[in-house]
Amino acid sequence: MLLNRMCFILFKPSQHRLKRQFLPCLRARKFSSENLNNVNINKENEENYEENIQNKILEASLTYVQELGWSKAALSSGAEQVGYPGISHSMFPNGGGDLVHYFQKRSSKRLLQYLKELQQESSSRPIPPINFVEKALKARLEMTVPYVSKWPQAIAIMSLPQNVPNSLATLLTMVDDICYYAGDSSVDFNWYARRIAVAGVYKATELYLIQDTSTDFKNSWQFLNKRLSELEQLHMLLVKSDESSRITKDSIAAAFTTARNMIGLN
Amino acid sequence: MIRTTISRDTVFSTRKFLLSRCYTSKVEIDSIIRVDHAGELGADRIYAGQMFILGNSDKGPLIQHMWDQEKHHRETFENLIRKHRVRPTALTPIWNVAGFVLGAGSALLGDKAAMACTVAVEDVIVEHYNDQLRTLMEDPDTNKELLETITKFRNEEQEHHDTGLDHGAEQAPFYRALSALIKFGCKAAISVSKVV
Repeated sequence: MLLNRMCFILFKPSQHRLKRQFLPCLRARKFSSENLNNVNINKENEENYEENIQNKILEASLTYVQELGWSKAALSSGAEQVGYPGISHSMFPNGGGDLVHYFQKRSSKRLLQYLKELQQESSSRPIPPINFVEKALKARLEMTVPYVSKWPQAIAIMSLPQNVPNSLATLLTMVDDICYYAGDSSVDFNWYARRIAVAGVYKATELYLIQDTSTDFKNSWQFLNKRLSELEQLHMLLVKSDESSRITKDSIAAAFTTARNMIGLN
Repeated sequence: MIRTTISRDTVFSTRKFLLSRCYTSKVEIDSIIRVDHAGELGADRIYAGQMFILGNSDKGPLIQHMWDQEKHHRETFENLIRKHRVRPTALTPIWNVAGFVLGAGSALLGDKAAMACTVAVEDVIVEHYNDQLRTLMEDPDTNKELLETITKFRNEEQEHHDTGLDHGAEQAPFYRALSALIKFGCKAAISVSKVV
């Protein structure tokens, strides 16, 4: 009993002291972790906020492209239109490159929407894959048509070394989307062959488009149709050669068996 | 909170829209499916090569049974590629030929060497599947389908490994050298297929 009492007297104040010393520390730590979370959330919001502004400016700048080209001038006019100072073009260190990239990304998104609609349509009334690809490529190229007078400049910008990774990535994503929705289910080398072929046709038609003077770009669509039918012929040829290679494989196997029979191995 | 920041760091910006908010990122899942498909394609071709030589021998039905299982594995991964929109490996023509040559080549050395080849290949594959299972276990709920598939296949590959040992793999000529060489080849092929 006495011992207990002594302990109480001895330890109680010290516990108190401990608490007094540590509580602020604990509180501070709690506070700081909350702070950290807040900082993270703020950072996230800030990123979104900045991206939203950038997108708003880029979208507005597109209306000035026909007049000013894919340039910083178009970007500052766009910024002024949505209420920011013209100097805001410094948000885009890559200048025209960023504007072209935005346009490509936006077009890919719209194309994706179109592809989904087309796929639904084809589920009720099947569209042959080659026609599906033709429709998709035409829809995509039609998005470029309003900017066709300034498109050579865009092509030049896209082929600058610092812009190549971005433009290649958007091209390949687009081609992959088209092949996927057209119903390509290959899992071998054909996967690559088809995507490269579609990308080639797209780029070739794009080049044809920028120097096409026919009304409503009729010649370009004819060009697209011809290239794709050539592709189909090539594909048929490859399928046939695949068959013929199977025949050669079979005949080699037969020769091998005959040889083994002759030697007396079987 | 932590989850979202990690996945944000690991993704490529162009594929952002494809990513779900899970721990194992889309890029990792892609890589797993790609390399496993390449592996099963190779395994399928190895058994095709062995059957080409040993089809009429007494080991024929045994190899045929293992081959049928590998064909099923390959089909499953082909479906997974379509489902997850994974880019297949670009080296399919090479694995096609290399697998067949390995299978037929080992079978030409006799049925015991063929079994030694099976044991070496399956040994590497089981190890590789176990590594993947460890990665996938970080987020078992989202990767449930893949986890179950790989676990099942891992068990079947282990069975092939044991069957090979039961049928005298270790009595094959130059067993150690042969096994080390094939294991090295398989490991190299796996690390290449993860990326390309």
